[in-house]
Amino acid sequence: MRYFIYVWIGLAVFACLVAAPAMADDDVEDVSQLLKNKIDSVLTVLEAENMAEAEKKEKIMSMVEPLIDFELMARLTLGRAHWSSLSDEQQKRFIDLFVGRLKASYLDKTTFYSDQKVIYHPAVKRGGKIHVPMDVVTGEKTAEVLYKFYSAGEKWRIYDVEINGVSLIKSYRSQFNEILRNGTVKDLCDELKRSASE
Amino acid sequence: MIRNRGQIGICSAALFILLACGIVSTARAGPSFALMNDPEAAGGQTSSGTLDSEFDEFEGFDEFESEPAPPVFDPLVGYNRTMTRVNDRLYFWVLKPAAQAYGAVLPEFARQCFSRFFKNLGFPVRLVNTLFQVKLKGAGVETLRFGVNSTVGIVGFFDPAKKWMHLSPYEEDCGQTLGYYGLNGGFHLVLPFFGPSNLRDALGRVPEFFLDPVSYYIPGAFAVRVVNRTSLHIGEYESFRKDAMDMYILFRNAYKQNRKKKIEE
Repeated sequence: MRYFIYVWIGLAVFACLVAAPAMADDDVEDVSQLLKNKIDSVLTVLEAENMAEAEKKEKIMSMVEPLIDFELMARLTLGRAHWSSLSDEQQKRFIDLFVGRLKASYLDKTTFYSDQKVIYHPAVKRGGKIHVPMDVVTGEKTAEVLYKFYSAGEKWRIYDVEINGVSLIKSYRSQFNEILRNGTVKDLCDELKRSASE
Repeated sequence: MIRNRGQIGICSAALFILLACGIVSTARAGPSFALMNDPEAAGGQTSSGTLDSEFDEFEGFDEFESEPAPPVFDPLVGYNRTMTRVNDRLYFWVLKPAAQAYGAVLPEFARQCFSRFFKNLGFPVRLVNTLFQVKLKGAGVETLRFGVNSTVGIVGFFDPAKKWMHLSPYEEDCGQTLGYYGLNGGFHLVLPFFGPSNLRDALGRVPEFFLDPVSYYIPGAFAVRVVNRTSLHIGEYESFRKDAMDMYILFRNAYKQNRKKKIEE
């Protein structure tokens, strides 16, 4: 009889261990739902008929801005080593320029296609981050898109987006590294400014 | 006594199975445990107000920090940069105008049919590579797709396998198969006309050429396929290129990331 008690205690302890990570999955559900709602409302704005292009863009940006951490993206793109070598003023200038560029590029890409259909896949937890994968279908074309969220206190916010396996942060980062290998931060900022005004 | 032992045996066996399941599930749920044990990683990002030093802002984002610290081995960088520009000019001066003219003549519906037709002919490449990667389900799906689309789908002009049976193609090529067997990409290589590649994937194009009925057996079909495809994707290259600060580096990096994902799938 005694053995049974041990076994039952063992089982109970184990059940708790197994159940604990399962309970944390609530976050995963919440984040996917949050993103889904956001994308739905962006698509609604895109499809609105009596709205000018500029107005649409403005509206979409105001909707996604709380969800996407543009400033963090800018810092991650530069990387720890480069970032900490900048003066406060340089950091500010870099963030201004790069965030502006990211936003413009995001809007450009979002408004490029008209009728999009999104197929959501189950979100997963990866090292404390939440990844939400989806297929974005436009006509016959399908792009695999992955939104990556980190926990910013109460909220979860986006810090990177992958399209067909290509991370936005990583692809900018490789270019920044190249520019900074041969040049200075000033060159980088000039380049950001130049390409933004094109 | 013996009966008792038997019960203990059954119980310990049950416990063992549970333990095994538990270990598997905790291993899968590893990240969330890591987060619990690492208050710094969680706390470092909680709110920007509590950040003391710049270092903390990068805590928890090692996926980027480990990335391209050593310079990329790129012995052909001079040639590659030149060829990237050549291909870029080729696109804007030759391919795009040709595709636009072609698109003006043929309605999109017809072009989509051709696109599906060419896709169907890519079956041998996909079948061989799913087989070599022991993706038996993929090989089965590909064979079924080819059978259905070549008959019901009228020589591949339509894709009933996807539309009605929800069977999507398995995009496997020879470069991915070599990668599957552990071969690294080698250095980056920009091919004339075909664009970004690397040593491994360029080698993979050789068997693909012979497996591909369009390039090998039907003269002229290759050019039609390229123009047809381009006509359906106008604006995509432009949009991707527009974001570049250094076009060559962007293409090289994006190619690497994209191939890595495809090989892992």
